[in-house]
Amino acid sequence: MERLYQKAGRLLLGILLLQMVLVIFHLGHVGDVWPPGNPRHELGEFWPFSIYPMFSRGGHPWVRSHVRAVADSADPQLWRPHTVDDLPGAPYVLNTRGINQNDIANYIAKARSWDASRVAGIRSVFEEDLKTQTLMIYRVDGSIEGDLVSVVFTPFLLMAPDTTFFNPTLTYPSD
Amino acid sequence: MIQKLLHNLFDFEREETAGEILFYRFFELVIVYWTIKYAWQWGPYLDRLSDIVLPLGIAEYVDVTFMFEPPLGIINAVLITVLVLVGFFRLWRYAYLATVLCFHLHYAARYSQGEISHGSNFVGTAVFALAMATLVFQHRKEIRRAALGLCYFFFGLGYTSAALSKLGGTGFNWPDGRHLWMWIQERTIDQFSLTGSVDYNWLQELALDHHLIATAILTFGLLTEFFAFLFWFKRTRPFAGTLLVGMHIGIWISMKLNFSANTYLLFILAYPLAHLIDRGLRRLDTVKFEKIQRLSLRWS
Repeated sequence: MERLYQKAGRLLLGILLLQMVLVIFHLGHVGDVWPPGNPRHELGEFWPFSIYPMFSRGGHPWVRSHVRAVADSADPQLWRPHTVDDLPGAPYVLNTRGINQNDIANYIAKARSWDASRVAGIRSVFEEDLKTQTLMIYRVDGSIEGDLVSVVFTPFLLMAPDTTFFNPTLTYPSD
Repeated sequence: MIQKLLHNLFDFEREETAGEILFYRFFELVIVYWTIKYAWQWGPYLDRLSDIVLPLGIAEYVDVTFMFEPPLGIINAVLITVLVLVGFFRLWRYAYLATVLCFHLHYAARYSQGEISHGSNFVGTAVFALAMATLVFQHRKEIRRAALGLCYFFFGLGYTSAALSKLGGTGFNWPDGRHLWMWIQERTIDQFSLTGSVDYNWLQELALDHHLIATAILTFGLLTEFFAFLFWFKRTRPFAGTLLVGMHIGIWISMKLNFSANTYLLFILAYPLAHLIDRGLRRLDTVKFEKIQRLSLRWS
């Protein structure tokens, strides 16, 4: 019987060591994220092993995304920051299109460059609807200010049927 | 101490009952179900992807964009389905190991867009435990005890590690209620994008209105995670499991994040369900009992 426990103990230790080596050497890409100064918090990943760092950075600012269908792509007012109450256009409901919100948000927050292939990549997610609609992707920044949570919607990428516009007031990362 | 831990995790000397064998097959079936579910959730989605935003796991070494070429996502989903079923029906000893490898590739391709999802980690860990136990041990009873022991250990370790990450990432002020406000608002933006409307449920409103309640919710979560290593021990397993399931229900309501696979697996492993099955079997007449016992051994 003791032999079985020894065997199980060695197996457990072996997997534990494997897990430690994998998560230590797969720390992700600290510092590769955008905007600068917003280090990514997901460290120590090699599926199915993880150190489970979700929600580990309490109070840190977050970046998400929001997509809206807008009517007039020439309106200069489109490019100013908004709050949830004064957003132009109508929500582009991701659920009904089977699009994953995290994928869009992470595209906005973590893409290391915004070259032609990156733009083509995000346009391909909305491919069908871009034939007939103009969509604005907002970068949504959340931060804590005293006892209040501030949420700002910054226009990030305007995707018209035939072209894509970047926000002229923003600087975009490049490799 | 280590001997005590190993005995609590693996418990090799205890006689195995028909209820335990049936329970184990049920547990295995749940793992098979979740593996197939994820395989088919991710497989068809790969067709939509064209670019890698953040390479994870094997994607750091191999360009997994080839998985975006239809119908490779579907083919890998079929492969995972077949392999995990081959493992379940004991047709090939290496089937669960091959499942883990294909499953890892599937995950690396699906989660190449920047999101690091943890919802499937326990399912992957369980398949890995099944694979390792099958490879290292010879007899069915030993394989079953080893696989369950590994799951108890790595599930408990995962949550305790999550608590340590929080203390390391933020410090002892992690349970500050304002942090929960931030996460509630973050999840609300996600819901807004997904559904087109903004709404808060009763628990979110309560937490947003009362800093003390928000702090209490986070304190409960941190302590529950920290003491999750108690899942390793037979006596404390049901209590640690109940608290963790409660925490997941809390996360579900307060942040609308449903870690359903984790919750079901914790529920299945936390309680002595095998003994309940045995008690049920004892109520049957001898003929039926022996029939079920024979069947459980044939399926083992």
